[in-house]
Amino acid sequence: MSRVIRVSAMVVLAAALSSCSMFDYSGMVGNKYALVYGVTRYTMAQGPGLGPNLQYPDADASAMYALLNAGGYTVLGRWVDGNGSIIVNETSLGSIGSPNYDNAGTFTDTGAVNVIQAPTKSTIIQDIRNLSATVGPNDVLVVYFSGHGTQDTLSTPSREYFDPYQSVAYFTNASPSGYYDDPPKSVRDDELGAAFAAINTPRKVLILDTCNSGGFIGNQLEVDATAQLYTGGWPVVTPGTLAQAISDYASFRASPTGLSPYGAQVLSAAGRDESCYEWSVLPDGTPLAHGVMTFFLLQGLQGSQADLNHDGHVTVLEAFATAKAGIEKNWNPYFLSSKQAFEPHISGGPVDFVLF
Amino acid sequence: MGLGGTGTVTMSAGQGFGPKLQYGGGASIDFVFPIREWLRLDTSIDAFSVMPSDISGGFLYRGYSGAALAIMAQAGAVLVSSRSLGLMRIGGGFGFAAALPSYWYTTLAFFYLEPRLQGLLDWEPAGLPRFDFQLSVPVRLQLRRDMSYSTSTGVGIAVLYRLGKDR
Repeated sequence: MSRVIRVSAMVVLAAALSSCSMFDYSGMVGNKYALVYGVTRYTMAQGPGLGPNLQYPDADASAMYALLNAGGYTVLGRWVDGNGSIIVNETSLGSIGSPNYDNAGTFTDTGAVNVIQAPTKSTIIQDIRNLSATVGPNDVLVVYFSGHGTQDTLSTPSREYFDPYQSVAYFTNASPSGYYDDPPKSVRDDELGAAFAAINTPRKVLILDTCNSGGFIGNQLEVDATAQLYTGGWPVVTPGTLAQAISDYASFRASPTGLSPYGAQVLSAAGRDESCYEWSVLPDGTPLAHGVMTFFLLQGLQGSQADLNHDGHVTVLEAFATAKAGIEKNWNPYFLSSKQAFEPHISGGPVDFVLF
Repeated sequence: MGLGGTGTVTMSAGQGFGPKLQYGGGASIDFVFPIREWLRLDTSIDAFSVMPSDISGGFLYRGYSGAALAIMAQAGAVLVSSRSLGLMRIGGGFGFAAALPSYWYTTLAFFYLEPRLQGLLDWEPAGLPRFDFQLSVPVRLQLRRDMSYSTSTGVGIAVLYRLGKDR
């Protein structure tokens, strides 16, 4: 008996002691890169803050830019502020115009200056592709976007987009005429996935503070017990959850939409079928002046709040958990009755990365 | 039936990443059915938790917690039988578990199967005829489709209370 106990104890002890020395990955820490985008004003034809224009994505992008810069990231930031100025790395480079489709379907952008520097779809995709020669296998790439997002429910399964500059235009020929998302100028999940595929690191993190952004998550094995359209209550693991998890395990099929968790981690402000919000002041009087998810994300990352296990580092999962907890505590209880409650979501997969 | 507890260390490697260790533990409610003097069937409901790995190299394996249903055939032979000490058996077991955990900080549930091997020392004290005390060394292979491999070992203890007639 004593021999069995002795052998067992030695096996466990050897395993425990080896955790510090057997696997040394200190040489695997690479560089950190970030691309930060935001669109507050989509058109000069409407006043500041009037639809489709927003109020705070430039504040979101500017704060994320500063945070990532201070955290050792090499950052490229492009955003459009409330005045319609195109800001690149905190320098104003010109003005946006008024994207418009006329009755013949011809696209114009009246009054735009230096739009090639604005966060348009082609610029964002090109920025990502430009990093393919720079980012190495152990490097981290963070891509952040704040602005509108949308869902195409006419396709099956639904497809989700985020809306960079020029993707929300006035359609004279629509019925009724007005401002709509233009899918060819929006960034669809698979289009972003194709650009990400050119980056030679699995440590890619996409943070979206947009409506319907949960559609960018393409899990293969995991079943999210949090509904894609949050209506209150606690997530519950049901027999249906178990059945779906077993089915996913058996098939291990790639999700038909969204980014695979083995290629990128997605932190989305909202579920696939729901909206998220920007706000000026929280119900308790706390000034917000950001996208709600970005506010709580920044709040956690700017202090030590997001370092949940107090190890001196913040991972993607810890950042997500902090933002989600902030929304669940300080936003959802006040906005559930008005159907403005929402829940952030995150990709599955076994691996997490250090952000800071 | 009985209650058990296990401390584990798991070695996992994600696809494209290297191996790391994760510590964990669990508790179980066991229902043991004797089939022969030397053979019995142990079915259990387990609750378990596996902590995240370290963050060396800027990456870690996520922690997860969940439940599992397990079934294991256990065979053993008498090692010691005395009036003062009671009955002591040594043996081993082989079985399977089906696990449904979710990652820490998330509501993401996933499923995997887990073949289990176990070395076992079982003691029925002379003064406590309805009780079995078990010490085990489990070896488990998590058949996770999202990892290159994941395997764990550890130490388990359990206390069984025998229902039914005295022998």
